[in-house]
Amino acid sequence: MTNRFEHKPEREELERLINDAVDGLLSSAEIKALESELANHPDLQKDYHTLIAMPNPANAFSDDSDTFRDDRRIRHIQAMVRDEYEANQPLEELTFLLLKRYALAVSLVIFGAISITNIIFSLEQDSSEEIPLNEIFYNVNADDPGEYLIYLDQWMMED
Amino acid sequence: MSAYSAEQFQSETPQLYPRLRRAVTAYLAGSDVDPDDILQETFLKAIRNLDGFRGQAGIYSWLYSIARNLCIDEFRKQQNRSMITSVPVEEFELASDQFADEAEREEILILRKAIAVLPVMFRDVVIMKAIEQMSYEEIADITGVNIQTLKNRMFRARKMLAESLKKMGVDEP
Repeated sequence: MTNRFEHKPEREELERLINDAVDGLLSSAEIKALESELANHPDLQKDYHTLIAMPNPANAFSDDSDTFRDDRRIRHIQAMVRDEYEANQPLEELTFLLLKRYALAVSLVIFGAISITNIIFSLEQDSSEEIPLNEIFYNVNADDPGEYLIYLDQWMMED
Repeated sequence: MSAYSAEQFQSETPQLYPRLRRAVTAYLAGSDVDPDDILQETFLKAIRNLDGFRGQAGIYSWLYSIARNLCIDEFRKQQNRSMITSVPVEEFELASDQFADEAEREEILILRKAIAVLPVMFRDVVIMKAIEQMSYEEIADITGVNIQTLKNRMFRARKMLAESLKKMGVDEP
């Protein structure tokens, strides 16, 4: 880096070196060489001292990352990024993405739907099928086909 | 195929957003454009073009260049309304509880105003170098301007800043 001063630097080169000095990119030897070269350029020497002493522009906009922790604007951007990405996916990938994200909910919905369908079907079957008479008035003794009548008689007598 | 997935992008948004917001706020200082509008558009544009990101520069530099182009577009739109800020120093937004004392607050206000009155070309390099702490190589990648020109531009920008600060009553040492 010190060989920058081996030849006499042009004015523009000196401006760049002043800039590097302000950015902290020069070694102490290079700064010494620059300062001695600037003695031949009083206007640039003045600029050099002004710029070295100038407040850092970075101070004008502080790093406030901490204030954005869990910020709603970030959540909004994240949701927007996700929605936009999903909206531009081919149908198969979108289906897969949605299934992946809502796997539990989809399982529960399918399970619930199957259960409800089964219940409805079984109810319909119960109500639509007539119960055969012999399932109510059944024979107690298969060898005696008239025994159920005796039972009914007894029941009526008890009443 | 992108070098960066949408999931990665989404999960790194909390780190990318505050840094980019700081840069965009600096860029737009003194204009009536809302930085959050530019940021929203930047992220939207980025996710729509994520396949185009090859990863040579970091994701932040890529995102920054999108935001910068959007700001430049805004400046162009507003050119007829004169982009040189006419916003008085007092009207620059600052939350007063952020600062230890009034002198610090005032210095920041003046610095913001001085940056805001820089022509866009010079404001650009000041934000990237001094505020964003990017290397000249990164700035050259984003702007397409060679490093030597950028350094000369930065020197001139600093001189302009110093002159503005002097006019606004900040004493030279």
